[in-house]
Amino acid sequence: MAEPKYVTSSDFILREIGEEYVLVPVGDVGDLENSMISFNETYTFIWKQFETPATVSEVIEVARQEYEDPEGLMERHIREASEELVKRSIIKAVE
Amino acid sequence: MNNIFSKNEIRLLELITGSFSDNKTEKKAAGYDIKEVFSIALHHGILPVIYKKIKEEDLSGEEREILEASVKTTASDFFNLSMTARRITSLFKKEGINAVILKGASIARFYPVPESRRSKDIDILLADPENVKKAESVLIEAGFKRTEKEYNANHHEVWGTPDNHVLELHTILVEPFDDKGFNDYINKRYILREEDILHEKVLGIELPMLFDDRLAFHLLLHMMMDFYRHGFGLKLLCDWVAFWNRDVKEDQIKNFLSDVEKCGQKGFLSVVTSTCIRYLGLKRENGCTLNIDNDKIIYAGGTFCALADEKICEDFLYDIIDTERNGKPDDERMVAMKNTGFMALVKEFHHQTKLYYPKASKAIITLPVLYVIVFVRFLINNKRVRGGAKLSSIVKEADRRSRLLRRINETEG
Repeated sequence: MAEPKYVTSSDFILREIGEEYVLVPVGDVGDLENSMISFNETYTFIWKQFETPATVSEVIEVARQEYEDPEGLMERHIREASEELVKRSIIKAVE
Repeated sequence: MNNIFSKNEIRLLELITGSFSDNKTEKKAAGYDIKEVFSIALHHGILPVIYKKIKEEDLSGEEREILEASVKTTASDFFNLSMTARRITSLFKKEGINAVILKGASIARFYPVPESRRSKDIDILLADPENVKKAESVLIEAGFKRTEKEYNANHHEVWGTPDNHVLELHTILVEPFDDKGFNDYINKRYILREEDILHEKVLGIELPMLFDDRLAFHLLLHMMMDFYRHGFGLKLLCDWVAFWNRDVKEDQIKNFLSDVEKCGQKGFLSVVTSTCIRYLGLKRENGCTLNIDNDKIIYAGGTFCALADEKICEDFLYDIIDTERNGKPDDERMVAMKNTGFMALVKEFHHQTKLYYPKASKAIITLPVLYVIVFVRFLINNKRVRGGAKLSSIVKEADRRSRLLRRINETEG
């Protein structure tokens, strides 16, 4: 079975507010409404990669080209972060 | 730049200019005190607008904390208020009530960073004032609470939202002026049909708003109304810069200019726009609607207005900077009157009395008492603002502002 592609949900936008990146819910998102979620560098990178449809493996590949991974934790971190974003419907599988 | 402005004010104007343009070679005022620049920007509520520029300055740790907090709070307010505005207008729409938001996101969308424009409340204008009772029922049903204030009774109602924001529900566009013809024209022009409402997404939030012609006219009237009543701060001039620093369609400009002419506000338009061009970075290059041709401000379709002379622009801008110099609450400032002298003062008090007490002032017998109340309130407010100033200096200040207003009105548009 082909690996699914994901894309960012239009219910959220990423904004650079002051010195940090913040995810802002702008759609009907239940509990997350009226909140602003601070994104660290990893989450910001992942969000930006999923702005166009991509698989998690493709995102990992881009990350390997851009960042060093001396401890070999990059793939695990990206997979875990992506799972969380899917769980919270912040990124969605492309039909 | 003339020496009417301090070095600190000149630097602030440069920071604003730099924030609205891509101009990398902004000039730098010498010998300014960045603490003072920071303080003026803070009081005018424009720190987030100049964030990228002012953070490059030699700020203290405490100032940097205030700056970051200000940016976050402003952005958070922007999103919360916009989401609430969308919720309210959707509820109205379901009941067949058309409405538009005023100010807020409808102006912020023209800023380089929309969420940097400070908003403290939600302003909604009903497309048809006849729907006010129906709109009230919708708000009550949704958990909103009316804040009773007779002062606003003939212009807008103030409501508290369930999440503790303030909603101003407008039934007419601006507070009535003491000019019936003017008021009648505005009220007729702003009964909106379905096709007069623009639905646009601002940072992912779709909201109903005015098209450019009416939006620009409302901005101008809003500035004028605030200028008459108590003055306004740099934020509204930033709105004007943001609005025109883009490509506005010719037919929209023509409609706008027609409204301005019918309401006799070409002089005010000229002074506001010229001030923005001279001091606030309203561009004179490609990408901006407006340009200068000798003594005129022009756009692709013809003349926009006359270019006002530097002296009146300076005095006007000085008044604007002064309005919130020390964080003065802007509803506690001196009124400006159309004319000077005792009769002008009496006329203004009569008008203010009608605005503050629309119901009570209908009974002639109560008028003397209401005049006294308005006068005492005027004195108390201005004494507080002016640090216990004498009555003579309060009246002198009102006179100064009235003379400035008269010069503006006499400016050839």
